[in-house]
Amino acid sequence: MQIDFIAILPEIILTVTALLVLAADLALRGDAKQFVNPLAGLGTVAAIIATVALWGSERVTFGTMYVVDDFAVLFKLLFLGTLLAILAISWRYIAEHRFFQGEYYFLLLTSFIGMLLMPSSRDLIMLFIALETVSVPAFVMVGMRKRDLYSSESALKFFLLGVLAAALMLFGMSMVYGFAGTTDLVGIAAAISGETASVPLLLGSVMLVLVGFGFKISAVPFHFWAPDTYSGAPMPVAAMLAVASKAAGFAGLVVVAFIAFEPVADVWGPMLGVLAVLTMTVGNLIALQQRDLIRLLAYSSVAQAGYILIPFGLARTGPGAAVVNAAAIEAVVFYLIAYAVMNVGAFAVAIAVERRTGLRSIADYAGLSGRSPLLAMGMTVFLLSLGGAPLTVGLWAKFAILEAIAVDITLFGIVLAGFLVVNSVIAFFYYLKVVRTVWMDEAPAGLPQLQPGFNLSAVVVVLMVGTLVLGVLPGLVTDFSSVISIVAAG
Amino acid sequence: MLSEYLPVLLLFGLAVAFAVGSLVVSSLVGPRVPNPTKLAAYESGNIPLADVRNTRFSVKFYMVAMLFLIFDIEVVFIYPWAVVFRELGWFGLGQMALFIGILGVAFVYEIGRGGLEWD
Amino acid sequence: MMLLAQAAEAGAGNTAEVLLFWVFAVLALGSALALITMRNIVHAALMLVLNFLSIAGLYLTLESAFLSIIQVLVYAGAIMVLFLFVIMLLGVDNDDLLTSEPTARVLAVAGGALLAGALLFAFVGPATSPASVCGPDAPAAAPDQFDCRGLAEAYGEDDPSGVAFVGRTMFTRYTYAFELSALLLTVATIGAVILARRQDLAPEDEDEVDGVPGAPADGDDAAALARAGLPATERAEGGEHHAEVGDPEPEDHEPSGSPDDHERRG
Repeated sequence: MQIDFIAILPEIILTVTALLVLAADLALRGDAKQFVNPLAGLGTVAAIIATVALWGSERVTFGTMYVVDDFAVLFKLLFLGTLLAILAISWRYIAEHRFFQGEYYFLLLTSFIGMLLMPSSRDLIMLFIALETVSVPAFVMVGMRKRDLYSSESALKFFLLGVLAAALMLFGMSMVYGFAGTTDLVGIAAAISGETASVPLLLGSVMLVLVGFGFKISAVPFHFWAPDTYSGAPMPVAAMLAVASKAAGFAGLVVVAFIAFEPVADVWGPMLGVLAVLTMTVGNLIALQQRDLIRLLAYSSVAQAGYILIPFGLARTGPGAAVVNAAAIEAVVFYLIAYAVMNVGAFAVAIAVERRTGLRSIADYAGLSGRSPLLAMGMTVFLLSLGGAPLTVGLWAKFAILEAIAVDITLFGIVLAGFLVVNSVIAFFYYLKVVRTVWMDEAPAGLPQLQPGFNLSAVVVVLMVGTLVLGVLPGLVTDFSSVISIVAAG
Repeated sequence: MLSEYLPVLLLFGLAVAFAVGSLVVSSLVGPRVPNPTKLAAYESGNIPLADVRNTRFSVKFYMVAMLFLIFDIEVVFIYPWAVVFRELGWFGLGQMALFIGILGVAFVYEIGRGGLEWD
Repeated sequence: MMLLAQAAEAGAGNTAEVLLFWVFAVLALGSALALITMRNIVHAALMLVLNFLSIAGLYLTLESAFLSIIQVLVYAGAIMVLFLFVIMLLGVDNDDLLTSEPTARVLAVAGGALLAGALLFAFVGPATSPASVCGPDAPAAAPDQFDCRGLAEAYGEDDPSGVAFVGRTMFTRYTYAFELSALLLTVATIGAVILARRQDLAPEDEDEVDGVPGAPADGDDAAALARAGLPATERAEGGEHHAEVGDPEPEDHEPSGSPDDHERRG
């Protein structure tokens, strides 16, 4: 048995880093403990280098179970970039709140190891382990402020619903295995493509597997945990759940849907399309009524998940399907990258404000422009981009979805596009409400000037620049995302 | 194939029969003369201080049970490994060493954080 | 359940096996039903033990001896100990934990019945193909004549219990997943130590207040500011709560409240 260690080098580096962090936490005392953060950062940078070196190659290892292609590399870079940003915004926050620092960084790194595995997995067992590796550390991280009942409550909700979804998914997977006789994704596709009529057993199992991912991405019937969990969790953890964990869910969904279940795309495609419509509409309508910024961001992230689900609704099987499916995957990947840039940014600003004042309701952002022009600028750019304003990457992300719809126009596609446009307009109401508060309203007396630390400012600036530059030159990403293809493999 | 388990089944049946049988026989044959002292919970001769059903365990037991469970699960992996140990050779040994090594870090952490200390 | 019954019948046609299957299947379903309907939580836990044991029996009829033993060892043994500990932690007579509102109960039963019905239709309904019993190789025309390949054949002659089969698979193709499970177990250990330990044994970063170099000097007025938003009574309560449990956080939270309070907070 030969193992391609180069292919799994990023994961190895992160694992070693995580264990080192844990050991360092035991060895260090007092103030010195916060220096596990740069240690974790160094490991992340090393992992990024190792990942970049994998670009352009196609490596298969562990039988056919683990594939590192451009699709996987792009996702891995997305995760590692997010990890770097989250490490930067965590440093002060975690050090000040005196959480279990070493444990926090260990769990964070472990969760990201799971994410790195997700787009490379080509086996149900591997996918499940990857999903658990993402989720289990997150359960603990959400509950870390254990003196705080909100935190405990949100951790419990997250845990119970997460475990329920995992159990349903596992049940579905076992049925799929019973049907196909293999856990290999390509093998499953081969086994079910021979089926002439669609079998309820198979479709039922496929639905159950998709439910598991639906929880991870907080699609609408499974979104209940998201707002409570985001607002109860430590804020960097909320950012990680809203961005990285969601992207990991989508990576897994792409892999399992477009490779293993591709022959039954005619069934799950429309289903996920309906889910997309529900998700973005419900998310946006509830977000309109929020007064707490984190809850607003939570519902907005539910709505964004709905947008990202749209391309899945376009999936189909049969002749000519490969083109449509490839365009759909491309749109998903591009949207996820854009979403990561703008949403991590929004959370970074929220952390900067909350960390200094402990305030997080939208009214408390009044006059932010006077208290910290940088943060106000950042918040404006990120929220406008989330809404999809021109000159920001958000517009191109929505455009990428419309482009995928336009590849082969169907009635369902037009309906989806209609919902996308209407929802984008609704979303602007609440994004602009925050922006107006930031710039137009008078600051309440007694609020201190905000001077975020170097890390936080750097993250905000980099992401703001990224949002704007990609808003003008989206080709910087699409040049890469357009060459990825996993459909051919399926 | 399954006939190998016939003795196990027999033993199982015997155990159930004995348990049920002794309960039934004692309820049929035994005399019943209840009094308050006899009905009280047995506390090694002491008078019970509180309702036994209200007694709660310390959360420390939970810690121990949890940690036991985590290390108990290892048996699932180690047993099959031991059976095919010769077949796998050095490769298998390396894998298991890595597995135990990672769990060793968990173990060191646990001791370092005082997870095994009673107070 | 029919599915397994079909599989058992389609297999060797061994009557003892079929009989055992039915015994264990009825036990498993019955104990599961009893588990969720029983009012006494200890009895429910014992039903769970019975359920685990019947499932172990089912594994045995499916010729998976190793899995069966592991089921008894890990689930019926260790996990049940954990369950009983939790019950004892909470106190046995807290039956009120198990009551639910009538509407919630109706909804739960309806939802459960709907899901069960849908799954039953999908899995054993008229549309299920013979492929679901014997895998995709079974011919659709005459499934009865098709000889399903059971686990015994997969294991081979010298490995009747399947341990070596599991070992070979786990340490070749699934190596990566195996090593990851070590990482997951480590995470579980850390989670247990963090969340379940009663008092934190003075990790230095927990009990210092102004330990961070370069931290903003207004850390204290941040806390004051957060408190200022709350009415005086809640503030006092919150303060007491802090003192009582030694809350190290600067933020102020009411000791109890619904998630909606979040919006009001601050």
